[in-house]
Amino acid sequence: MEPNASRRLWMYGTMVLSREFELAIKAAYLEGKQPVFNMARGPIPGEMHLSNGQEPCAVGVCAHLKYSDTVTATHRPHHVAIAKGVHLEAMAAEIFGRKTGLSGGRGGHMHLFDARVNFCCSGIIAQGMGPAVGAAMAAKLRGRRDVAVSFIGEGAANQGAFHESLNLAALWKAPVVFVIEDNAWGISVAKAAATAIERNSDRAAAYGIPGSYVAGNDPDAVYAVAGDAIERARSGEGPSLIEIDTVRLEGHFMGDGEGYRPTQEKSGLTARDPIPLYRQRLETGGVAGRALDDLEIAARSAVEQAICFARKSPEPVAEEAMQRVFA
Amino acid sequence: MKKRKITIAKAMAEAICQEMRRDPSVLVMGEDIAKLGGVFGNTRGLLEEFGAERVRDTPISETAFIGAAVGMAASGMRPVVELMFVDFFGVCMDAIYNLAAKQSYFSGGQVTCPMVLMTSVGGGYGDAGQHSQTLFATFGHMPGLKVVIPSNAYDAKGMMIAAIRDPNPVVFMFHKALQGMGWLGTVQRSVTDAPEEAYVVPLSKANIVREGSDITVVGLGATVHMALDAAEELQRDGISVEVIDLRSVAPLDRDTLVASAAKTGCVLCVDDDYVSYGIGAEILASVTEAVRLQKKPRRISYPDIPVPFAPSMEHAVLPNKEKIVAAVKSMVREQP
Amino acid sequence: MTDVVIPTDLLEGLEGALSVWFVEDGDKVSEGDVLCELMVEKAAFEIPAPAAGTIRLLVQPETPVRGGTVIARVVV
Repeated sequence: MEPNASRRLWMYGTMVLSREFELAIKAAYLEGKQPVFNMARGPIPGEMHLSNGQEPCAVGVCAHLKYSDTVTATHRPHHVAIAKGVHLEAMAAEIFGRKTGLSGGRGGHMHLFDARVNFCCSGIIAQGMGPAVGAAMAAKLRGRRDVAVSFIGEGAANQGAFHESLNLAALWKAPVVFVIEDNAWGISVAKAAATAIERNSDRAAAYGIPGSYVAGNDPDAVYAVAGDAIERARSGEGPSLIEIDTVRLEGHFMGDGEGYRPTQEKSGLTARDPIPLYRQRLETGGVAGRALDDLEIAARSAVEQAICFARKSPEPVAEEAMQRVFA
Repeated sequence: MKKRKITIAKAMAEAICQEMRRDPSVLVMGEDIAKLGGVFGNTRGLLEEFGAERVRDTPISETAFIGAAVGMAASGMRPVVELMFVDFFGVCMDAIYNLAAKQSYFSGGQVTCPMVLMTSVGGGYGDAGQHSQTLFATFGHMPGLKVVIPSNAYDAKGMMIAAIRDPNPVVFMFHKALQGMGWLGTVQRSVTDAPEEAYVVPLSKANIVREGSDITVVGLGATVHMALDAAEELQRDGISVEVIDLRSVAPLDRDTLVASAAKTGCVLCVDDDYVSYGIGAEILASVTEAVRLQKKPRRISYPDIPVPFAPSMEHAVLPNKEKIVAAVKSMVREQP
Repeated sequence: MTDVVIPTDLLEGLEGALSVWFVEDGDKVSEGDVLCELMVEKAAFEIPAPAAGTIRLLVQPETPVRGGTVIARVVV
């Protein structure tokens, strides 16, 4: 399944939008945190897990999804949220902890919920998988063709919930696709030091479901494999597992000195940035540079608008902390 | 004796190191505890000294590696295992409360569980609902577990050594606000002198860190420091505050609490765990069962809400010095 | 009297800050005692005493420092 020209442009534009967003968030996050990096300080306190480099995973999959499809994601959610169509301004405001955020500032960067587009994420590794199976089952029981997608990291494949979710999804033939973004690092621990086998996609066979591996962090390759898996699910044929070889360009979280990452690997990262590589491919394939420039300009403008909206939004008042615990 | 100040992070690492030198059955496991030295700095230097067999980075498999620690403990080893954030207990609680906590009981004492589960607690820096909880009451509630939390480096080192030597499972909580990691801020009072040689601080004793006569304020971890700050301010208003550092959630040192309550007749508990069914609830119940207080007791705790992300909300609901000062003044002035 | 200086090569031209002092003004220190923790970007370093004597602290925690900054003095 090849993406057509318009899908390709959508993927490029969305990757750029996501990257511009991450760069703007990074800059805002670092405000107030120098010279002493104190996580509590600045307009965005707490942890920050950026997705720079992993954009192909998000766009290649979400290109096939509708608002009524469900996506669950992780502590590194921004690229997936953007690709799923989460409201950019409300998302930025939530990350800044403002009243106008997706949950009024209650959740922050790791707990983004946009019910409008059926997107949510949370910070406990692999715990988004069960809910994805559930959302898939809800669609199935209601006779709908909607699917669910669970995004996880490769570290999550060693967590109990991974195995239980795959088995349950297979048993119930749930229309769910599990997508592993393999960036080779679980904080400071390399995949080889944590996972007993080389390919997590091979684990799918243990549950009787198809498992595919996508090399090279390539949006078109992700698109092709994801398209098949999602169509399988929509047609009632059940779940699949996709493992994508991607790259984490920044540290695990902002403030991570990455002393554990080999110098050679760190210095080679820029060359692996998927966005300039995809741009090159598009131009070689005949897309006008001007069209791509326009996408970049639009992205920057949208991000600027979103960040501006966030900064100008009021902070929640203390009493609001007590609301929304129950319906 | 020459003074040497260290952070709680360093105190923990040093304690584990000294016990590993002394006792070959001690080993350390957890996520990012080897090469990185722990996300919170509490295992720095261990991999370099003891090697990868005894200092093990684990996959993200809490149920498996904490379960494995229980098995190692049953087989005569002394594992020190880290649960990176206490909030992650949901994925591995069975190994902790159904196995570790019940090993001695189910075996009639044949098999104990000399395991230390060290875990980070607390928020106040914007890490939101799944990375900021303390859960003292959740763990304190389970029979068979010892649950402790130091408020300073001296206690941290002595309590870690005691925990490793203890034949029972010890949940060793360390508060992120006190750890001494620059990136989380530092409470200077938690950075204390600690002897270079090994020493033990008994696990089940509370510590009266400031003597007083008008009111007993009980805190643990970060709230000990808030209470001490409040006590200094209240001193200027002529109010004499006795501050107790609880140190141990389980077993609870009821004797020290009751004696202090009997002395002052007025008790305020301060903790940053959820209020209902919590630390304050247990302390006040225990104290009022034994002593007729002169003033109505109170507790300052975290409300029954998930930890909000936005600082304007999070900081408003956390206990702090100002809330303690206001409560003490109003309690002390209450007419009998 | 010996100055306690931030080594020039440690910070590589970047600005750092003292995150915590391990000694108090007026303490007696020995050569090699760890005096404080310095944070640079995301890494932490310990600064040792260059000589034995009484330490005089010159810089508050969280003050920015650079390579060459004198943060304390050891007086004999």
